[in-house]
Amino acid sequence: MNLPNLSIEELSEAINTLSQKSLLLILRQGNGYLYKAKSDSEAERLAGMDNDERLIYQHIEAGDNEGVWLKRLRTKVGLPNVVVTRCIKKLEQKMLIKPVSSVKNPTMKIYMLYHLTPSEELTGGAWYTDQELDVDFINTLASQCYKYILSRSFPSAKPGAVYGPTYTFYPTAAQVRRFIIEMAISTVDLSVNDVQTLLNILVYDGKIEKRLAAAESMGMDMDSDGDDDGRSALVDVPCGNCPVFNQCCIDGVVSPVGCVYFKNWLDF
Amino acid sequence: MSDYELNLTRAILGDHFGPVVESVGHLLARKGRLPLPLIVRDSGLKLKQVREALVVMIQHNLATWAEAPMGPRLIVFYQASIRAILMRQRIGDSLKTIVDLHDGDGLTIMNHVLVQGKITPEALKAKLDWKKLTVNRRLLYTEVLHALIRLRFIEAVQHSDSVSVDDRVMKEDAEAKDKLSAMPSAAEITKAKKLRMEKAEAEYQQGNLVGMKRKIADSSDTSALKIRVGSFEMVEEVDETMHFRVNFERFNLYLRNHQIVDLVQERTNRSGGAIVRAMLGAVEEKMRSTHEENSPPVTLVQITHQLPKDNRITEDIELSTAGLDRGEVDIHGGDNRSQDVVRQFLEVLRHDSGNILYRDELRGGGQFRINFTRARQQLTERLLFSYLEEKFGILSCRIMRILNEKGKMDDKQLAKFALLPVKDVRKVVHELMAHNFVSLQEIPKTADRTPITCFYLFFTSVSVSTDACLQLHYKELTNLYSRMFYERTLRSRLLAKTQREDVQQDQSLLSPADKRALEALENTMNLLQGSILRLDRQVLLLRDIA
Repeated sequence: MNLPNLSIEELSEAINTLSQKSLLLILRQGNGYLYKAKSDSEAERLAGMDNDERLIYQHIEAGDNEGVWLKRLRTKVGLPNVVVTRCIKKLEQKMLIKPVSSVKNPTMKIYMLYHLTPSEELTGGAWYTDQELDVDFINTLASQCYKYILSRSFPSAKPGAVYGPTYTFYPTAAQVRRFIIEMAISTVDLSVNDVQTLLNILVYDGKIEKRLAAAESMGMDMDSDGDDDGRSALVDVPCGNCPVFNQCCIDGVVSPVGCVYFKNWLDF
Repeated sequence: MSDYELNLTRAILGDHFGPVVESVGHLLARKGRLPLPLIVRDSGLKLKQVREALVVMIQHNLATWAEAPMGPRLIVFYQASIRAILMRQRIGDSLKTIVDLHDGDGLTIMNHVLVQGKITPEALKAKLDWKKLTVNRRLLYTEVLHALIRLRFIEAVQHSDSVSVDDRVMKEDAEAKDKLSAMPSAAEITKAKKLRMEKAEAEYQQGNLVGMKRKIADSSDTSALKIRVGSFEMVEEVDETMHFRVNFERFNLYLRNHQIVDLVQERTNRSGGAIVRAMLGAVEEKMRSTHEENSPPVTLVQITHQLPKDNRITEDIELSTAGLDRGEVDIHGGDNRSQDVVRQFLEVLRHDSGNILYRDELRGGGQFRINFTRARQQLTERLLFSYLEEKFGILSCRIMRILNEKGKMDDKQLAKFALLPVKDVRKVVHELMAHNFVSLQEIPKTADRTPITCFYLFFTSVSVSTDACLQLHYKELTNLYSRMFYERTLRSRLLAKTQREDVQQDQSLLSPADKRALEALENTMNLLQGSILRLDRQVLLLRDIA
């Protein structure tokens, strides 16, 4: 450190004073030390703590919005359990830290600074409400997206027709997102990635399909009409949905000869 | 071979040939090759009955025989051809194909061939009452028969056909072994096997047309069909010494093409279907087998010409180019504009993510082909997913598609992709696993392979799912046959009454209650047989063209 007007003694005294008032943070790098000034409010917060509390606070602060797991905190600070619990309780009372829970491990005790918003990793992202996957919300949103894509995939003037090869207005994920925002369907702010995840579900359900346009990927509907011509003959015969199909054999207790499902089907 | 398949074989034999052939056929299917005395002993039938049943099966191409030395003696072994028996379900659809292509004449000929199993042209003529026919009718029948043989719907029976594939393989292996001086090594056995398969494939691909012969045309011969070979005018005529039988493999090809048209129609619309129909129709005769990867190339002009007159292609596509979307273009005018609409539609089909249709770039860009491998894949997928959706719900489709696309995954990853709670995913996956559609792979974290420390990854395999689905089909079909048999036995007295000579001449002998019962029976049979037919179309996809 080069402060020309001060001698080493004066300097160390000044640092000690500042450090006592918690206005200075001392960091270690290799063999040397680095010093970092703290803001007034932060200094004020730290000033009221004892050494243990400060240590714990600093570890929690280092966890940022990912938080720190209580068990890991204990091993890191190396203080007795009772002390850690007491300090955490105190910090909580002062509204400096808060407990959060993770969607992945709901039983894990995680702490982070009071003013921080938990990361997506912890909350699960846009699809989670109160730590639970909001299936209804997802389904509603997915069906709205499907309707939107459907309306853009087939010409409304000619029922049953398809668009020509030069048609370029199949919606992209970004357009679907804009549609969701404009129609105010979702109260949650969705990113393009979230929308893509949602559209992928529709793809996996076989309702829309992905096409590679020149620039972006996009969804396009494929079920042109809602009729069920493609119904499998397997399930049209009662055997297809029979609960005792596995027990059924020609000379068994359950057999096609004495089958009530068959009787109902044939008499229909 | 599964029990389901055996049971179905038995049900078909019972339905088509009655109880004696059923028990002999079932025994042969279950036990493999058997000599006559063993069949008599195991079936519990009389020698005469067994002989007659075997004659019926051999006559209908359902059984084969081979002579094999056993000790000092030469024993004749009989073997049932299970594939041929299962293929008999396809008779209905095959006849429909023939009616579409050759009307009633084709149907009459096919009927006689099917009833006889194997038939000589002479016997066929006797059945058709040849001498009483007019010259025109004779010419018509000859033409149709020639067409059926040329297109291989009917094929000549050769000596090699009476020996089963197994016997042929054993004989060839024995011959290969004789050539060696010492015990064959594993590599030599593999090599011999590979050679044998290549030879069989080459023979199949070469596929010379058997049963037709050519001679120089005689100008006085009016009934014969003339073709030009080099500078000669030749007449092609049926070899009278040969026996002919129905070739179901050829029908599979046509029936598969039907399903491809349906698939495209479902993905786009009726005009999409019509275009693919026209495309396949133009080259159907050139196709050789259901194992081909691609269709022969078709030009735009060919497709346009093959389209039906009353097509509505202009109505079914929305084009932004001015003048083309007004619905006033005559597709059959052959002018550039009508071709342009068809071309545009072909472009739509080409860009469809199914990728069934593609343009053959090597041939100047003007020719189109169908990729059968992709089509086959899509047809099977459509079948599988429609079943899964109906049976296990849409979530099962979602999970199966994710597993298909991404490979092996554990339940938590699956839940992330499917946007579902983990417990729901587990429920679906375990249900699918119980029905053989999903399999499990465990990966131990530690050397002691403790179950609790293992990763459990789920995965699907198309061939396993297809097989699981096929077995379901077999079982359902067997159930339908059993029910059919039961319904007939319930009303056996009534059926016997309708067969009586006096009742057949005078229908008024049947009481109103009898008539109602007959009608009910007919409805039931229609429903059951319709379902059998529909299931068999799915079997075609799962088994015969895969």
